[in-house]
Amino acid sequence: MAPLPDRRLLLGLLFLVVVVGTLGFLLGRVLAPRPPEPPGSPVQDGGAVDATTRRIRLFFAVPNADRLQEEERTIPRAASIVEEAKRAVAELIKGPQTDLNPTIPSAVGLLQLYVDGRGTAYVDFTRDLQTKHPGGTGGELLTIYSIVDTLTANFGEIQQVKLLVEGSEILTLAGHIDTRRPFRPRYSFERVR
Amino acid sequence: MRKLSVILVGMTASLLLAHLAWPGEIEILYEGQRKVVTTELVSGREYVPLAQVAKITGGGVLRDGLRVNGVTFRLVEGEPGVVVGDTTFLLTAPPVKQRGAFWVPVEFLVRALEARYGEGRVYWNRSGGVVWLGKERYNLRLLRHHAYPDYTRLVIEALTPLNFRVQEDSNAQLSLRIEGGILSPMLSEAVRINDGVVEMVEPTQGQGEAIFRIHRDAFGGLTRTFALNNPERIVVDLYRAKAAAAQPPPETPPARPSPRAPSAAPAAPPVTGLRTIAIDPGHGGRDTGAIGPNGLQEKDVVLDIGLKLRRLIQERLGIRVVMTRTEDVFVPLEERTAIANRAKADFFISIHVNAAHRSKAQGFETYFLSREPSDSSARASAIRENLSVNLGGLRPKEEDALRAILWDMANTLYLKESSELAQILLDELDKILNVDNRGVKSAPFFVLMGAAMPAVLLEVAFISNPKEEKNLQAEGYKDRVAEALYAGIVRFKDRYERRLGLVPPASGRSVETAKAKR
Repeated sequence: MAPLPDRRLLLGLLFLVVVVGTLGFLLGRVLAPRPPEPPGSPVQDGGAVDATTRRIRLFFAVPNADRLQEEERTIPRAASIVEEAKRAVAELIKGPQTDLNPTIPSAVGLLQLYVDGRGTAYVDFTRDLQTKHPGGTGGELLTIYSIVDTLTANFGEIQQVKLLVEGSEILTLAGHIDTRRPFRPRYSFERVR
Repeated sequence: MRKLSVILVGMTASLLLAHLAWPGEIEILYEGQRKVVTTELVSGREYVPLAQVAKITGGGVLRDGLRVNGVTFRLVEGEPGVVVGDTTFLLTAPPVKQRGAFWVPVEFLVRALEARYGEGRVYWNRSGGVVWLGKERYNLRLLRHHAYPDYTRLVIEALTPLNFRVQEDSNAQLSLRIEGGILSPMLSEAVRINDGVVEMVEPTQGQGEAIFRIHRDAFGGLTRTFALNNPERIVVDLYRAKAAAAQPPPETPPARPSPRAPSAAPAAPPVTGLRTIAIDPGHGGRDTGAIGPNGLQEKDVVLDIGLKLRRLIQERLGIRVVMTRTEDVFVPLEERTAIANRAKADFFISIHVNAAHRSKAQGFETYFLSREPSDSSARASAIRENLSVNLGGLRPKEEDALRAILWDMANTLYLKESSELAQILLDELDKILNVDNRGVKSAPFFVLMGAAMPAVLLEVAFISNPKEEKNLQAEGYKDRVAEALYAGIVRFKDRYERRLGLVPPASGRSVETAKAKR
């Protein structure tokens, strides 16, 4: 017959079970994938169709190139905002399905996208973003702001966007607009005076 | 490592004399070693590879700079401000990238050596091409100068805050005396400036003080002296005597046009008023700019228009035109406004043609610079130094806030003139061209950032539109564009000079020229 276990040992074991259990529960909550947001609640979601897809707004150029106009698209939901933002940019590169004009050369690839704690999204493209760019101030503004507007309009976590090419900061896309700093959204390039 | 075999100043001095410095080499004497670094000329300045700087200082090259002895220097291609911790210093020329690697102006090597061996111990003989470690410490590092349209700025970089005073020796000479100042060898020679405001600055080492004798060109205008910190600097602004009349002057009457007799011989051209125009034909060389559907290249079109415009201005207005390029060559963006700044141009016009992806867009538009609110600290610091106001007695934070406001105000002035110029040029293009007028717009243009003057960028047509591309191939069309821009310049010149009070209302040469054109 084994001796009865010590009362203190029993209490200690019980305590350990409680502690480990609580920690495990908390850890599980932290590590669990983000539950899909309830359909239709946040405005920037553009209204989700169901739990597995969401509608987003992409910004393309109007025919006379002085403004961006939105086009809706449905993308599959992903485990994180960053993954969904990558899908949005990929759709932007594919180009419009309406009579709007594309803003990014179709050869361009998205290498990386990340969002820092201050709401800046860093979007890293292949070199084609510069080498295949048609040039012109108008063309540069459309490229830059179609990316910026698409990301800020669909993802509340993103307030501004900085463009990178192959991991590095760039001065301009094709010699005009300063791309060393992040951009805030802007939808129209119409006259100021 | 601490045990350095320091070469004494006296010894090195004789070494310097014996050393025949070939341009293109920098000799570095430290820790009993002698190293030679080959330099390369970039836009007329001597550069060294960042990798070499790392090797000499025992530092490591980072993707965006250099780390030496626990100090990180953050570099941005094309940006003269270098961020070190929470401070920024300015290089005389921006870092450039060649074959993917950074190249930096020679003085960066000096800064990196200072990070390694301590400030005030690294000596540099610029003309001799020698950098060495010394025993003595100096506290006045170097002198920079820059000509602005109405004043010349001298900046003396110090290592510690020092007291100073300015005394007027004569009408044409000032002395800046810095208490406890010790000159570095970089300050051993007189610096000739000869920019019409300052002839020369002569630093001398006195007993317990350093003296900078400032020789002015002719009569002295207003002078302002003040200190800036982070890094420590003493700044002297010397105003052009003419421009100083706009400030509260001691005895000069306000600049009013004296009613000149109409028969007055056209001997000397007006001294003030609009004197120099900078024209920047966009792109060039390996940068073709936009290409039309039939292969026409932007760089060729805008060079043609720029040269036509230059000829019109020179022949009809007789004022100076500075071109950023006159042939098919590559000119870096930052160099373009630097050319205009050096020439003290009154305004800057960048000529481009537009393009958009698969677009039917057509027409012309004009732009001026707008800035995004999020300025990098490097730029903010560079900008702060542009403010010629002494804000003594304020706490550093209040001082920074006030400087930022003042810069905004100064900038707003350029913005106002820039947007006016953009409007005038747009109106004139509208009169002559029969395509869409897309208006005046603003955007953060890289090429306009560095301009110390009103600056605009013009997109005169869409080369991506086949019809407009065809137009741009015709000499006659380009002539018409140049004529329109010329007419706009005449109108802007008239308005500009009237504002300065140089042209009495409803008379004056430029008005007549404008009328004669119609």
